[in-house]
Amino acid sequence: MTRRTMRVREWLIERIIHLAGILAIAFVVLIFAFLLRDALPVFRQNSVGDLLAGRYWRPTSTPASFGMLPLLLGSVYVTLGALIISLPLGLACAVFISEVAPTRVREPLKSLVELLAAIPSVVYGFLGLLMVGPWLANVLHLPIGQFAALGSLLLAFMAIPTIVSVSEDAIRAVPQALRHNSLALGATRWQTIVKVVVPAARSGIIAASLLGLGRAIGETMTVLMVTGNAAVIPQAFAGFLRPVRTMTATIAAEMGETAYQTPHYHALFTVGLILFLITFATNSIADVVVRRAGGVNAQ
Amino acid sequence: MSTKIAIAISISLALAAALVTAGAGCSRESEAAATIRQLGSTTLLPLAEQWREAFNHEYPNVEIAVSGGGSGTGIKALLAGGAEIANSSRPMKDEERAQAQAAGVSPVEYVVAHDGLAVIVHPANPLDELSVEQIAAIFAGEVNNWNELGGPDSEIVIINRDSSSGTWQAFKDLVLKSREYAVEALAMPANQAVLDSVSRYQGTIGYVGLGYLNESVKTLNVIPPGGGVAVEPTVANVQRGTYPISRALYCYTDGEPSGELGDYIQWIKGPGGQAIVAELGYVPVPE
Amino acid sequence: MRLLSPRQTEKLAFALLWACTGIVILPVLGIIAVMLYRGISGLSLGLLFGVQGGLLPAVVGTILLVALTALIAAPLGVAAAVYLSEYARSGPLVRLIRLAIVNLAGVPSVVYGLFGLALFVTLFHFGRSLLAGACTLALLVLPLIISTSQEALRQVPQGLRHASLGLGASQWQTVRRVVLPNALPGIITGLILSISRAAGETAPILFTAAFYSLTSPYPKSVFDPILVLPYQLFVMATEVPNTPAPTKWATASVLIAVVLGINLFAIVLRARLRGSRRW
Repeated sequence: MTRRTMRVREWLIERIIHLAGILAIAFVVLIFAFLLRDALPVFRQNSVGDLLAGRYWRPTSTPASFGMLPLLLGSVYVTLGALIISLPLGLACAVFISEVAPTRVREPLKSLVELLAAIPSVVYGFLGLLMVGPWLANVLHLPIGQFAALGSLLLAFMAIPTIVSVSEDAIRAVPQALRHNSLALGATRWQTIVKVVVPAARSGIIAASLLGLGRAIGETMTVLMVTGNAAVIPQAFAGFLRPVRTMTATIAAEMGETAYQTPHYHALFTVGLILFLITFATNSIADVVVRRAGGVNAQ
Repeated sequence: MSTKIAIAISISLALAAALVTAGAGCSRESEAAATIRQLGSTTLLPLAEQWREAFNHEYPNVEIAVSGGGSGTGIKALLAGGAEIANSSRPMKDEERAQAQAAGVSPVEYVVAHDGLAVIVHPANPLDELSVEQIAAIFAGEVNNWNELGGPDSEIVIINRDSSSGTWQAFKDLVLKSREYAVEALAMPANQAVLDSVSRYQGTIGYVGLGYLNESVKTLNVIPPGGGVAVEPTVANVQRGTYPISRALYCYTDGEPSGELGDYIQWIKGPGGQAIVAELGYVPVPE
Repeated sequence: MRLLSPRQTEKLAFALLWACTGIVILPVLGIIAVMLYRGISGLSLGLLFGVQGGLLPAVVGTILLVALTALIAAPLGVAAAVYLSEYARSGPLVRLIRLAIVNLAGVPSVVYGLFGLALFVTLFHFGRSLLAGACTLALLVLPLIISTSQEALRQVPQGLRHASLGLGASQWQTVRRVVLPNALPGIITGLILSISRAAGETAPILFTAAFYSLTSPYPKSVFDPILVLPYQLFVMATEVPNTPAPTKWATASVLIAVVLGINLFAIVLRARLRGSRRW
């Protein structure tokens, strides 16, 4: 091989690598473009208000109505519940692993938390449907073991690994000197954690919560199997113990049966678009927060 | 650096625009001609599996691939050339017929069986019969407690099907007519999920095809519209036309079928296929 | 007046942290225990290897799907990581790419399913098929592969690069001969982790690849739909009439075993590699 052909080959390879680097941007743009393309036609017959604030999701009735309010609120309920459970647990777990646990058990604990993330969502759904749901219905005297809070509970455990790993990174990034200063001033380790370490890792913890939120709102199979899928507008606190229908479950349950390029098809893409925009916003904000704090993730 | 960003973004946009607007991609390979692909309604799935097996005893050289997915999926596949037979638990909708025309497909309809929809409750439920009007009131959410119907004081939990299922549509047409299902109703992806929920929780009510019935639930006898005696949901009563909640099950092909496909459809409609219909608890169609 | 001294408060707080961590860890152990207990009773050779209604076709389908996924995603992901860590200089473009990767990782799996349906199934005419599902899953695991590969590349000491460049090697030669071989174990670990992620996903393949059939379980080409374990579990739990409970539990435990098995393998591998490489 002559030097010249080698040069050309190298040049070519490097161009390909450049292209691959840019690919991530291209895919985000592509996903957005395709969701938008297949969502837009629904706005020809329905106003934005009818879609977002409509109270009835009846896609196959005549006339059909595509009110997404029950789905939006359903997702909000399930996600909110998941955060209420997962944030304190996840944060406690992260603090324990990085500040309290003996060095020897740290890695095994982290691996176990990672395994929690590895369990497929359909398995969580299966367990919820067959074991946890019937048991909770019995204990709480509920008429049926498929309800919003059950989805929240299972989602919480799926969001916890994200929350733990991101906040653990942030806590570990807090300079050792801060801890030493606090301890030297006579504070206990616990006081140091509460007054010094956690506040210093604040932005990382906020980012962790946002990423956890994104994870929970996008989960599909588990909520499809355990939340009952009633497209109802949840009522106050009691709504947690009633069936609800989330945006993700609606797409999963209906897209397979929906004829191509019908209003129903476009409405489901609109739901997908809303989901995409929500997760895009939470992830971007989380990234900015981490970056501003100069956490370990920033390169 | 900013020129690089401009390049990156313009490449992405160009790629997106090209893909979004361009219609044609690479084309799908044509399938082996000998295979009959039959898919669609989950209600028809157990039937189709048995038909295939029995038919292959008589015609071992015909390869038939059966799968579920739902009525809508089957019809979609028929229109897209992804199936030779679409199974459907409801007649084709007008918009689907319009799409068929646009795609150059002329669907031919065959009624291959009848099916009764049994109204089911938990075995502990003391009620034995309800009128069609009462059932409609329950599913529309106008009656919320079993004590309004002479049962115990407990909440009625409606176990519905997914709004995309053929069974959902059939039950709505037969029972609720122009009314809508209550929004509180739980939506289940399949007959079996309805059966599981009803057999597990006490206040529930649901509906499933006769072929799915088993000991784990209690069926209600149904008083036809306008009154009369309550009719038990049995194959014989559906055949006699006395059980009010029954529907036809369909197979669709593209154009009049010939060759092996024609043989298969004729066989399904004939004594061989209809014997299996009866065997699985569905209702045979007269020749 | 304080009820507890600072020391006592600390003891109590640490005990609470212990408990919280326990609550987090418990489900993993619990799920594995339940699966072992209830799954094994349903497992039989007939269930595993039976052609009709057995799990073998779904296991084979899962393997085919993740293999094709890895084949598509690995070159793209590794190339992107090489660009980011070896070629790109930090600046707005890299920040934008990073943001894109973060967002790609956060897109809900069912939205990937919609995208796969619109692009691969419909526009490219792949149909509901193995190929369409693998392309969709490849996008889903791409950010994971990029970030783990980047991490692996970062672990390679700067000194090695300088030495190679100092000897007159070009940038690409340095990457090819020095950096990549040294980062390979880490890259492979990341790849295995993403394979286990792909193996457990259901939502993205719901409308792009998965189907349930007893009669034609094996795909004849990449344009055929396939049976996969997670979808089979979903169908068994909700659709198939009269599936005996032990069969459902056995299916769930096989799925868990496959996914956690791949995962554990990657974790052990990573620990080994971390231990053996001391720069």
